[in-house]
Amino acid sequence: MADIVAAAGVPHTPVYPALARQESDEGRDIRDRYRSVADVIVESDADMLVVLTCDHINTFFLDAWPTFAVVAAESVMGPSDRVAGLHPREIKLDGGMGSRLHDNLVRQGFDVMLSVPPAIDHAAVVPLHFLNALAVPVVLVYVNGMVSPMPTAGRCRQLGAAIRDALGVLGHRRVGLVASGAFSLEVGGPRIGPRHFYGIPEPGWAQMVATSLRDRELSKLVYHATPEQLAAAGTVAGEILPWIAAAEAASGLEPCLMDYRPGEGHAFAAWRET
Amino acid sequence: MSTMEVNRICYQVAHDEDFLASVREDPYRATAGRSLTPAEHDALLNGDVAALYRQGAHPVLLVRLATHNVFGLDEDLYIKRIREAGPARTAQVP
Repeated sequence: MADIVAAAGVPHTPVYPALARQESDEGRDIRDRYRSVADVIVESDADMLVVLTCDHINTFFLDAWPTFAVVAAESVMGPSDRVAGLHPREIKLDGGMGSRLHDNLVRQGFDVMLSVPPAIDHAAVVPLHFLNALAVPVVLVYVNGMVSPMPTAGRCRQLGAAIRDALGVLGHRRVGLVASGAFSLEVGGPRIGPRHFYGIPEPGWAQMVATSLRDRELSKLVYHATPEQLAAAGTVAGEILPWIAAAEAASGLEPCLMDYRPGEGHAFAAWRET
Repeated sequence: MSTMEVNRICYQVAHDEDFLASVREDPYRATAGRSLTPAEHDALLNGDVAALYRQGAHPVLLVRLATHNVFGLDEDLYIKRIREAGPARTAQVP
């Protein structure tokens, strides 16, 4: 059986890889924040990463838009969108494990789409850039956090439990979970800032999310993460949904890092074995 | 239902280099055969992202018109126009 030995949650801000290369205070800060999370994964000796994230309407389009999808490709190109400092490259995946995870989830009653896409976007590539220096095999799980109707927070929590159960019977692996996304973030909509394509409509919501995850109050978070709340928190605030799935899947682990700063719309977090 | 077509054009701008080149060369010709209403076509050609947003275009797609500098849009103009688009929607409808 596979064991979930660590979990992580990070943002996937497209400018971060380029920023992190700079010898500036901001560059060092970004590096340090991701490194703190990466260290937990490395110390866990994980030999596979399961990344839960949201496609930004790049891998999939609205004419065939999945609520949940598991990737069963052996490799993909990425990023398929613009990420400063990251040129598209081949990313190795564990297609066999992806296929078995899909099969198991369907047998559990989760009608997850099976996908073999040619390319993936920054939502998966940025976290892998920072967290997978050892290049362990990767399985990608997509959750719709972009397009209404999104799955409910409760359903995503159930998905997390199903993933945990599936991993428990699929192969002898030490699995690290990675959730990718923000809690409050407006991209492209009216609540962007005066000088950027993005904004943070509800940092207070982001702080509540971070506190709930740190304090293992997942039921409280699920209760408050209504479709209305997510819409209020920004055009891509549905990115909390893969975090909820990952937090449930990692419920046997201990929170060991919650790096949230007031005013921000995201956090850097990690869980490890007790 | 042609909001889907607006969304598709935004998607293609980011993922279809030939289409992007055609839009930059002749925006009207590149979009003339698409299933758009006259109002949507005018809004697109004029870079009126506020109107397209109000009609239901997805903002995560819409912003690509500015990042790829088509239909007269750049970062400053997009930001100015979308911030004046009115109240944010309560759901992201395709």
